[in-house]
Amino acid sequence: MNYVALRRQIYQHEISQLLAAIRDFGLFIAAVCYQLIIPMFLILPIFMGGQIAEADTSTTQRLFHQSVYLLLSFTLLKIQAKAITGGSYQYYLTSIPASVGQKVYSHIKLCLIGGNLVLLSPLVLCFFMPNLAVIVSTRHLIFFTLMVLLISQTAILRTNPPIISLAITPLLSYFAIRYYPDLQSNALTLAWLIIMVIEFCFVDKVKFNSRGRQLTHYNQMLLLFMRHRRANVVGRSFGVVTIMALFYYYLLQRPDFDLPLAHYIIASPIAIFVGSYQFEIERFRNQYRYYRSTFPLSNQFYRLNETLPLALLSLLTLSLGGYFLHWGLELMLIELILISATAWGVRSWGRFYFIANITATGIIIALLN
Amino acid sequence: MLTFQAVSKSFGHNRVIDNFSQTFDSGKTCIVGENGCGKTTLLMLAAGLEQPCSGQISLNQVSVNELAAKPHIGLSSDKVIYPRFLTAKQLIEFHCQTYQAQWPQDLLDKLHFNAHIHTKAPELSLGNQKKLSLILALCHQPQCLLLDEPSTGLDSHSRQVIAQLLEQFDGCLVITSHDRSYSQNPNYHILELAAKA
Repeated sequence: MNYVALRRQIYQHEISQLLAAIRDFGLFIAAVCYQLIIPMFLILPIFMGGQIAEADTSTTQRLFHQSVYLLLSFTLLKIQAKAITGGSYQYYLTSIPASVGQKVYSHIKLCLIGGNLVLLSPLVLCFFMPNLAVIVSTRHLIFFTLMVLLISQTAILRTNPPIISLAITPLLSYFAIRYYPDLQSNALTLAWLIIMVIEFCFVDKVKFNSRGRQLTHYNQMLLLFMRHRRANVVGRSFGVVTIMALFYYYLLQRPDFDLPLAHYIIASPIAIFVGSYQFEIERFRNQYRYYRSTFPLSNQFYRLNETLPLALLSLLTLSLGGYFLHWGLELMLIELILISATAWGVRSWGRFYFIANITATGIIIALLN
Repeated sequence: MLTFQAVSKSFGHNRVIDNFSQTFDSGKTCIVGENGCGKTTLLMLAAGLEQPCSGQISLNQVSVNELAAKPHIGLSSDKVIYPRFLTAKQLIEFHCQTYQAQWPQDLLDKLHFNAHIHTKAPELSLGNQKKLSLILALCHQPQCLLLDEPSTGLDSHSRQVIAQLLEQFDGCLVITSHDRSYSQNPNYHILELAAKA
């Protein structure tokens, strides 16, 4: 076996480990959404890539498509970063006398396997430009392709998330377009690309307080556990982006879609995300069961405190839903019921937890009709 | 006084402890025996972290599974995995807060642990992980101290410090060790667990 084949094997092994780690949530996706997920991953990059490439697309629309596309690229590759770099075996891989060429080739190959259509579609569009005039008129696409490549490398090679490139810049650009409607896409995309290059160089120079906050309460520990689990945080971010993209894709297919009904339908996957955090509580309990048992704390204390993080997340979700999606009291109540059903499903049925959510959604829709 | 009454413990079909009865008074006991004979399991049972299949274990007539017994027990064992995402400081803080104990500055100084206080538990060296585990076991001043191989991985200075601390400890001390400074120490009562047939 040569170095490239070894890296490929490591990639496959790490991906199988990752899938096992997020299978709790993944099973829901596989069971419920598989009919939509596959076409979405095939069509969405091509569709969005086309919209971004199109010279007539308005600046606001382009900004939206680019933001979603970059977010999707980032989460897709971040979730596979360890598999692509072989991070778990870094000492062993460094000890192998492989040439720089072999290392670079393996890296590019694994990036393309991991990024798939999301990386390939803007690249293909760039390579098939017929003449110089087209290249000049759609130069924003070249900038955007560079952005996609850069964000994929940021996801793979950097530790800290590129918040400026993925959140702050799109937000500021949105306000800039509102106040300066004549702003050109080319200038905007180029500025965004420059910001991204700067962030790529310096994002890991920012050191977060490694000394940690004072820890005196049990639920602080639970929240830290949830935040610490990389597969959990990245997997869920990827899940959120996937479901949002799925929803967006569905709306594209059905332009006549009833928007209030869409809110009811989106409430169910959101409840899956929030309620399935119960898996983390269960995982903490199992992983540190001896440690937990050493303390003079009652079962009642544990029960109460292990409910609090989920309650807090639910409250945050309802607040965000109320603020951004204009959820009314009825929808908030439904969301709360769905989150509770999901959490209960996790405790009672483990990986098949989503049955509780789907049953509750079915009952609610039947009652509303 | 730590009491085992006809305690048996099995893991699946593997019977690790079979009808074990023993009383550990205030004093020092070193449990010795071959690997796999049940020394660590005995400590885990004594700390109330494992439940016996039959029999009873009590500390001063209170079952070790009762909440009231917990503040009087201190355990150091590699079986207890500390949250990987917390620093040594956070673990000690949480421990002190939960047990209403004082910050163990004296212990940290003696074991030369101050330099590692901001390191996350799994990133500590083997010796420093052992020190952290011993600090957590000792810092709430328990009446009953259960230490699983307390000298493993420690440097000679830290071994001496721990040996001195244990010499001064006036509660019920039960340790498991292959270290001769304990297993051949005249101040320790030696309890040999029989190897399984």
